[in-house]
Amino acid sequence: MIKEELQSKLLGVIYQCDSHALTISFARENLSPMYPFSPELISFNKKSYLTYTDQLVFRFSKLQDKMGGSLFPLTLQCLDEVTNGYTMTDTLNRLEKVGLIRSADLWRSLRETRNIISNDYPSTINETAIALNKVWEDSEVLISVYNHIKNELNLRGWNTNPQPPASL
Amino acid sequence: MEYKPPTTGKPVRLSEEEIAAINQAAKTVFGDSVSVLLFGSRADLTQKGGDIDLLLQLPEPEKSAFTLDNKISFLVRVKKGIGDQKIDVVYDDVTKTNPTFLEMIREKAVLLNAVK
Repeated sequence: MIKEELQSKLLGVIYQCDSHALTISFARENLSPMYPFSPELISFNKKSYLTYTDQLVFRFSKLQDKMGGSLFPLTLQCLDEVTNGYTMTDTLNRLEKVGLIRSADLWRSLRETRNIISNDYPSTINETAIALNKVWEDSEVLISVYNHIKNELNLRGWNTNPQPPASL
Repeated sequence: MEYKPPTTGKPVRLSEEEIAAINQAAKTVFGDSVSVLLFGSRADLTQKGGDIDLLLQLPEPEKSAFTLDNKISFLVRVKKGIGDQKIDVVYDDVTKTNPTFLEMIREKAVLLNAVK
C-alpha cells in the first residue's frame, strides 16, 4: 500500500477509535461519583447509572475490537513491517518488540475483560459489580495503550489527527 | 482432531493437546486441587463446532481463588497454548454463578483432569 493510502486508512481507523475513546471518557466522567460500583447500586437499577455503564461497557468492547482488528495491523504496516499471514499472536509480539505496546500479555488480559463482559452466562449481582469495576479500571488502561500508539505513530511522522467528515 | 477420552472415559471434542493446555493452565492459576470439567457442545460428540465451555471446581476452603483476575489469567494462559478460540469459564460457586444454571451444567459436565 502506498503511503498516502496508508495514511488515509489510518486516519479513518483513528477517527473511529477516537469516537469510542471519547465516549468512554464521557461515561467515566459521569460514573466517577459512583465508583467503586456496589451490588446495591446495580440492584437499584438507577436509569442514570444504566445509560453510562452501558456506554462504558459497549464502547470498551468496540475500542478493543477496533484496535486489535484494525489499528494494530495498520500500525505495523506504517512501520514498514511485512504482516502477510500474521496471526494476532504475531502482531502482538511484534508490537511489543518495537515498543508500540508495553506488553502482549497485558493486551490479552484486556481482551479477556472484553470477552467476559460479553458473556451471556447468568451471573450474580455481586459478580456483575466486580466485572463492572474491572471494566472501569481496564478502560483507563485501554485508553492509555491507545494514546501511546497514536503518540508513537505521530513521532514517526504519521498524522494521527483526523478531521471530522465534511457533512458534520 | 483426535477424541481422547478424559479420566472418566467419556470422549469429548477436544484434542489431547488442548486438554493438556487447559489442565496445565488451571493448575498454574488455581493450584493442584482444581477440577476442570467440560460442558456444552464440546462435551457432545454428536454436535459440531461450538465454544469451549469449562466449569472449574475447587474445595470450599480454596474457593477464594475464584476471582475475576484469576479467570482472566487462566484464559490468557489457555489461549496462548491453544490459540484464540472462544472459551467460556464458569466457577462452581453459588456466590458467583446462578445456582440453577450450575445444577443444569453439572449433570452433563465431563471431567477433563483427575484431582491428585
